[in-house]
Amino acid sequence: MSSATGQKLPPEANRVLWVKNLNYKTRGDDLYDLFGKYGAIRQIRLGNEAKTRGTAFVIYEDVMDAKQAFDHLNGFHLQERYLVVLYHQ
Amino acid sequence: AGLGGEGVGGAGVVVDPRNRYLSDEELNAMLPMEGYEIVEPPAGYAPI
Repeated sequence: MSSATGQKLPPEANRVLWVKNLNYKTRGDDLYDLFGKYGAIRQIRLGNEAKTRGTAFVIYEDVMDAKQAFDHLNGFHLQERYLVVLYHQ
Repeated sequence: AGLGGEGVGGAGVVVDPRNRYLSDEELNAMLPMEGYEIVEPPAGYAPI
């Protein structure tokens, strides 16, 4: 794993991650625990309506942390669901 | 090879433009409001 600091960032990398395929039972605290491991979280928004349930926005303070979370949590198995993590465009 | 990047430390540390602090209004402008609830950080959540 190349060092985190000197890593070249892909152009579309930014601090807002869009997470899909969340288990409907997943709560905000679960997201804080999981995503918080990768860096300081600025804010989390969790979908609470029919068309947004199962998705969430996770906003980091630092784009490098967002990249770390993106690299590690894509496909992460959380509560019987495989997470889909995308950069918010 | 050039170092690249905007500034290298020095007096004022140059913050990567992508890391500029985002105020709540800016976040609201960027992200959908309806259909989403802003999650309260768990008590004692201290960013590392």
